[in-house]
Amino acid sequence: MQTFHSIRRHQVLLAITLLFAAVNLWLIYEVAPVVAKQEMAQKIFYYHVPLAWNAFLGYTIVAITAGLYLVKHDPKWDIWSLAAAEVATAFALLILMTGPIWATPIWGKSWSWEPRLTTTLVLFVIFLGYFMVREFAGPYERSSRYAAVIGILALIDIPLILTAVTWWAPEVQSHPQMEMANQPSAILRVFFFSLFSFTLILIYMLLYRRYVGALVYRRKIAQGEIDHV
Amino acid sequence: MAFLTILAKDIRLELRTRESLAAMVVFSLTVVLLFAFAFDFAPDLRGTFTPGLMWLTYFFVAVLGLLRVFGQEKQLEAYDLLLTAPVDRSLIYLGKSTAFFLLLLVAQLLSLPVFVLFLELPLAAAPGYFILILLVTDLAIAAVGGLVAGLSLRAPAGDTLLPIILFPLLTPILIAATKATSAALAGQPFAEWDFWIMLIITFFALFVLAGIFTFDYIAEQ
Repeated sequence: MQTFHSIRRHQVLLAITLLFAAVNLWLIYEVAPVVAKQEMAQKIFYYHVPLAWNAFLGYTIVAITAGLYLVKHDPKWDIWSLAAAEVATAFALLILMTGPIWATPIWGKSWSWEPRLTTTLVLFVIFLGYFMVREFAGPYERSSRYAAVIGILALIDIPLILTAVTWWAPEVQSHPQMEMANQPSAILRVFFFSLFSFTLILIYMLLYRRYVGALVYRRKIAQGEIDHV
Repeated sequence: MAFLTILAKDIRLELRTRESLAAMVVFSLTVVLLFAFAFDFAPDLRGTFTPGLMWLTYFFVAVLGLLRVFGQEKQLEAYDLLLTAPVDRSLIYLGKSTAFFLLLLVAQLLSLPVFVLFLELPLAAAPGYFILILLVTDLAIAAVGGLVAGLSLRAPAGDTLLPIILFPLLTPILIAATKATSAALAGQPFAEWDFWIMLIITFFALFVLAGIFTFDYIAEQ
């Protein structure tokens, strides 16, 4: 039987992803300059920020594929949407973990309602609801459509949540780092390599999850859990 | 026309029994009592807590109202019938959401004395602004609430799913309404907190559009 990894292009993608991840580790710990005052704590920036950018890329994919599914009624878009939602939410969980890990030594407390982290937390909770709808909202076809609507609403909500939580606590420092454009180029080079490396991981996980999702869908049809194809 | 028919139907239903309204008002009184006992405020701190407690209570009241307005029809299996009506589904969404908006607004106005009496809400400081905040916030709650109730209440576990989906989506509204209410009742000039009103209106506009465009899909059989 054909598995995900027996397909040649997936093998190539996995090899490239692993290679980039390995080089990325080396760049982060050996090449990137050590920032004064923060020392090794600053290294988490090369995980945290690429994770964040890619999580939001993932949530954008959720909303786009959800829209396509609603309009075209093609289950392949629903499978893409679910795959993107799960991968993006896994990334969001990692953002929520790496943020406090950095903040504990630098700010002296792990959670201080920093606007971007707070937005990620709210989004994470919205997507917990999204997965509950997938599980408990009745027939497969219907719960898929409901989930699609929530995926779209969530994307619309992101800028509003960010605006609201930023204005809500103006005294909270909104970003620990300097503006991205003001970073020294030695840091930026490693950062963009890391960003690309994490995007590869996102793509790989997305393809893998979509492949599994398609198998699950086929099994559901075979077991008669889905009425029409 | 269909919009008005649906709206009139829901209002007529409510006026016959006044069931939802009574439940919502009594519920806010209960919650206020619980808050008062749970927090034991120092008198000088009440002013800082009350707007937040009030909006939190209204959020719970909103869920109660949605469960009534949309759940009633589920019980009687009338919702599926309503969806077979030969009208644009977005009108059903707008009609039912408007009915819910009115219900929520009346329930809030009726339970306002509770907050003024027991939690010392300084309503007299800026009643006009307070009504404005109430109106725009309820519009925003109704825009999302109607949509989320429309999808979650047709599910077997819908009653549980409704607040789980609704509350996180409404976080910006809870923040904005609480901040605006505090600022208005503290006597700050409108220009210093009008961005909260704009945020709420933007939220309302975006979600009402999203509702009009997506309700058709969630209402399919």
